[in-house]
Amino acid sequence: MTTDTHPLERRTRLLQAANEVGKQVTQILDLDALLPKTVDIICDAYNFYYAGVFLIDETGQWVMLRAGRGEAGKQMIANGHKLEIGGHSMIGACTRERKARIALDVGEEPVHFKNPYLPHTRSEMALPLVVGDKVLGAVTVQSVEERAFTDEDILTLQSMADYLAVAINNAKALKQLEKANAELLRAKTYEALTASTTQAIHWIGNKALPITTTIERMKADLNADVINPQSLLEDLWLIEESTRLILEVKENLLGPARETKPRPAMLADVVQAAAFHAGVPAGKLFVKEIAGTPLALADTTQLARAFGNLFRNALEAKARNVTVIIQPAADPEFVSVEVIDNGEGMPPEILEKAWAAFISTKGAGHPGLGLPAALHVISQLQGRISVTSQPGHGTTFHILLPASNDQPGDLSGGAKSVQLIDDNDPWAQCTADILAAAGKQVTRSLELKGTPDLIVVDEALESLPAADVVAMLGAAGVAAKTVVVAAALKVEPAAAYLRAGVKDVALKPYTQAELAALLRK
Amino acid sequence: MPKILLVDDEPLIQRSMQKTLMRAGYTVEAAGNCADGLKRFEAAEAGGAPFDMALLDLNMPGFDGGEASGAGLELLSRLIGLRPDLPVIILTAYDEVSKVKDAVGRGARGYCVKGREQSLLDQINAIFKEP
Repeated sequence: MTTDTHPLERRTRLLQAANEVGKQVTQILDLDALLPKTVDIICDAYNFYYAGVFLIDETGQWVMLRAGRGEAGKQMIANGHKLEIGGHSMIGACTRERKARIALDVGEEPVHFKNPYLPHTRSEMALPLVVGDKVLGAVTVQSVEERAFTDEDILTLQSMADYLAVAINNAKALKQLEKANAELLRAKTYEALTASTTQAIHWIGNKALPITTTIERMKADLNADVINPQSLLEDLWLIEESTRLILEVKENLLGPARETKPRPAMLADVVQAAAFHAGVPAGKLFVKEIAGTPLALADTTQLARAFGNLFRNALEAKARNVTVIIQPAADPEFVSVEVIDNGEGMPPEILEKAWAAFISTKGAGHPGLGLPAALHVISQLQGRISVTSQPGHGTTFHILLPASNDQPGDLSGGAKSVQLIDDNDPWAQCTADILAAAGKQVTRSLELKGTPDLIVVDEALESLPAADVVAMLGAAGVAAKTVVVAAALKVEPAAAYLRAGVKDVALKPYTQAELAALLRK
Repeated sequence: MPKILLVDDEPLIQRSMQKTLMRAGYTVEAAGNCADGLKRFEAAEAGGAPFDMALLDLNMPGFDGGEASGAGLELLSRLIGLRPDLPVIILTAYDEVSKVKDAVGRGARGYCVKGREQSLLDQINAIFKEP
């Protein structure tokens, strides 16, 4: 030791180093970070030439260098430096005997390994890494001076090695736990996939079977002397119905599998759009949004599909009406949505299988994919969904969706006058207010008024089909100023609007940024 | 009797659609990939009996023979390049509005998700009724 001359100062530094190792190593649970940090702390605090950490390999015959100070350490690790346990090295001997070994002059040490990467070593200490009755490896500390280690050094360094051994043991245990967890997860995922695939194949097989048997029967009937048209018509119906069910499975499974594109969404509007597409009669749906509810972060096309499935279930359960309550959740990171129907409700034995695919209470005519698809969509959006139900009283779905902030946008540019062709719903009201506040001239009407710069048509119009509105605008020569907006877009109508000459078809803007982009279209 | 070119690589869908269209009164010629579809279209033009419409699958073997996502759009562009007023409908298994915009931008007149055949027949009839 060349720099520490005052014994008290030296002792203080050693104790601080021991404390630092103790503090740091217990916080690091990644061996690749823990071991290099430890050798650096030891060398810096004691001003040693070299320090390294060896761990016993899987065979139990060797100790492998896992961290080493400086360039020498790097090269030895790259070369796979290892020493035999019990062999002719201080580390090998110390690991076997579980006892510290010190060579105050390595020239005199009978088991010292002459390392070509560390030619200036004159003193060396090997400290075992032991936890309980288990030896994990050893730490080597080397100095360029003879007799560099005092009794105090040995004590503090062994105490450091003990801390380190505990930390290594914890890190290894965590790694084993993570590995076991990953294996369990893989096994469970595989099991779930196999189960659902088997169910899907079984279900589709059951639906396809009537097609083949009916066709064989029809072939035979057509060769008969007397043809029975009634029987043939019934057979055709059987084929039609089986095919419809198989195609319905494709529609349900393909939807949630698509990549989601979350954006800030006004849930009340997505709920209205979902009800419109699911055919919920006007007057049966009540949407209550508590003032101050933030926007949710969601892919609105997918979310509308999920809400649509819940509404269809409610209608099939003979609900007299459906109430949707949207409000801030107890956790400010989320928005809460409750979908409450007063239909037949579900008994407990059905409720516990509600999320399983291909299980339906409505007979063979239903694939039973509505709720699993809704679960999949909500999960993909990082939300949660649960259900409570009371037979005879109805069912309530509790949904949490991640909250989102409005995204500010510059509304000063783009169209100066805008006509909104929309039913009198909260989205239209909110959009009109924002545009008016930004100094735009806003008109709201189902008929063309004046010569606006931009015409925005809501696709989900209760009062008349959007296609008729687009045709009317085309006849008036203003289709090129028109953008059709929807909470959930479908391809066939989108192609038709575009072919009719509208400027664009877009997702409904729910933020100022999206509205600003719409004005600049 | 309007003549339709149908290009789809799935033989059962191809045949079933061909029968439906023939039953509805159309003459239908089918191809199983982009290259064959283009060849038939060019031959019909050269032979003085051109097609009145084309129905193209979106995802099928492209001009290099490999399965390509959106290969039907390339065939669409080639056909429109040869005859700008040709009505073309794109057939697909997916609801993807971005692809619709691409298709209409290239000149497609319609877009149909497979399994909704009645919608396809309605679209075809509507196009032929256009003045």
